[in-house]
Amino acid sequence: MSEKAPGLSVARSIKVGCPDMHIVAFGEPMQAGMYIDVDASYVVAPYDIDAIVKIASAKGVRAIIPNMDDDVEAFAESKEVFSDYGINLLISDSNIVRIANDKLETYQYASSKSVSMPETVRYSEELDWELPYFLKGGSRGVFRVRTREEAFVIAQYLKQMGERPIAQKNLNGEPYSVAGIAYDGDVVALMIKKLRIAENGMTIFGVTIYDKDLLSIIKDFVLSIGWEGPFEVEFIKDNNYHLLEMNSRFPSWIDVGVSAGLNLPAMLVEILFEQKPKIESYIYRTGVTFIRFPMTAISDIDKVVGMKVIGGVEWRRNNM
Amino acid sequence: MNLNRINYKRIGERGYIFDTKTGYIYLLSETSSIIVEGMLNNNLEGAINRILSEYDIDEDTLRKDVRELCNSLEEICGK
Repeated sequence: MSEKAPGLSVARSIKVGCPDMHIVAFGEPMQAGMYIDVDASYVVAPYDIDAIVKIASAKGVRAIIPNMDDDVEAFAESKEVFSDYGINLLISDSNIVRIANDKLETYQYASSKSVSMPETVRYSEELDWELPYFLKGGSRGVFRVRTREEAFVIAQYLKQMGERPIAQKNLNGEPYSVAGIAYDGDVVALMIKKLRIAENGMTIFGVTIYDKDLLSIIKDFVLSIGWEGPFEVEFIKDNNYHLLEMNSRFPSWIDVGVSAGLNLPAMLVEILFEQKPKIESYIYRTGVTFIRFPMTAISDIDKVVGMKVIGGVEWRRNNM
Repeated sequence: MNLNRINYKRIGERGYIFDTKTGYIYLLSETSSIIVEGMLNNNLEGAINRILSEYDIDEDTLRKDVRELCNSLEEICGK
């Protein structure tokens, strides 16, 4: 759970759509999502599947939704482990997850399927593209670079953070994004137009829209990969839609669906618990806007210490 | 013309159109707002007559403006 990743929004959506559901967070003590809208929080090291499975199994967790790209890949590689412990996941195979997580693989796959996507390459100092273009570094964000010097500095930063920077050409147009769930050979999707994007590429202001042409593109692309589970696909539109990237989890704005009438995290929970989703129609309200802003997670120091010393806090037992 | 794709709302003296497909917003003048309301209520002639009675505008100019507005809406709804 991280304030940048969608865990907070997913937990909030589930609280609204499945009020009887107990939510357990796995993460680190300094992550805001460990303190908000969850019933228990447990500290685990990144990608420590064994620890997650052990705690989840002991606490009666029956389903898990990973909310960070790298977690999705780790979970996909351990699908059988979760299954052995009776913990449900809706997730693609790891080689399919990599098509989304590795932006070069996304470009290669899109090109092979004649899906329009701006040229995307591994960054090198010799790259002599027309400026501006974009540098991407995994969970570090998306950076619009205006000079070669800026590109070099940002690439160095990304490399120091353990990333292998990707460069993507700029395309002028209007940005759109689609969040969805692929399961059982079908796709349910929620679309937004991005109205304001932060410097790091995060959507901070958007509005729900519906375009059946875009839905068709999404369904074709996502189902052709063989995707299962939550996703986000981002586009830029001039006269046509051009794919920018795919993410292997819900986006941070996913909770706008609660107000629009399509609560995808809650729907995913119903799927994971093998219930027929109560949503009878995938039609949702357009014109619902959202603005993301920094929130403050308030708690007691003993809860933070409790997480660090004991490894977890059960909020409900402490009447939080 | 299929107007289902747009949402129209009046705020005070003016209205706006939200294109539910593209997310674009079009702010309308007072008279354009009356025209769009007339179209949505299947009473375009009533809207034209109201404008002619309340505003200082000749009919030929108004009808030309109405045609242009209709063309614009067709362009939006047809995209």
